[in-house]
Amino acid sequence: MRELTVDAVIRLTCSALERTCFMMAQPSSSDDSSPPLPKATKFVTIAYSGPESGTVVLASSEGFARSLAASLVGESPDSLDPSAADDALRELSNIVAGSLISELGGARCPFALGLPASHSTLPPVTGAAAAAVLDAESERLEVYWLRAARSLAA
Amino acid sequence: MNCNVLIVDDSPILRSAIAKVARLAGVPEERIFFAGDGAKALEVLEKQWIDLVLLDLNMPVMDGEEFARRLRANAALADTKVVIVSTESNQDRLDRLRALGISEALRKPFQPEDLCQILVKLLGANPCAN
Repeated sequence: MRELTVDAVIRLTCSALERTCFMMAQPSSSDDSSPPLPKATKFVTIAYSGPESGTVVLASSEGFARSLAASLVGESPDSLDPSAADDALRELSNIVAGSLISELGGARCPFALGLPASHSTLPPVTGAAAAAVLDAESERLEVYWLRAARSLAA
Repeated sequence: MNCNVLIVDDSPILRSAIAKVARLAGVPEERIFFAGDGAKALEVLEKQWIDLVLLDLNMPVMDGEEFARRLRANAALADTKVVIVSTESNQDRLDRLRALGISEALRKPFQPEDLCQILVKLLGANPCAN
């Protein structure tokens, strides 16, 4: 089974954003002169299973989730139903996690994805195997990859 | 273009996004139908002639694979064209779907043009000029 690096998480997340809704993102600058990104207030998890299991966690600012929803349907953020932001973030988690397990599993990917779930607080991400903070059009998107134990059959 | 398209996805916003591409490809708005899971999709198919199903796989209630199995087992609906539109990369699952005669798949993340090309290929829809 392959390993996922932080760079891979960033690359696959940026690709998902660009291909799905033409949103550009980059790793958040550690330069102190940069204005701080808004805090993450929306949280989604999606689990995968197979030879090993794990969870992908997305945390985003309200503004990112609203921009994502607007970009997906090509409308103004103000014209969207408030639930659209949560729905869009769940869909992004599905796409990002799908890309991650495909990278992890290789050509004959043996992994299966679960369904995304929204949360009101950040789930525990201590010990994440890879974590990335992205600046997406001056809004915040965090991606965490958490690995659980490998199965005995793996 | 006189083709009916059924979009099956549990994400309302993705249903809207896919419908937008279908309209750009030449499918009239009134010929686009929606379902949030496989069970609801079967209900639509019982009432409405559908030429093409754009099918997500990971959905609550009834997932896309079970939907496809029931569709193929129904003599009246078995020939309905199906395109998988999903993040699915599990090869065993994709092999099972191929065995049901579903070989067209569009993997998320996809660009709108990718979906447009599939609609053009299967339905003869108008190319997305813009």
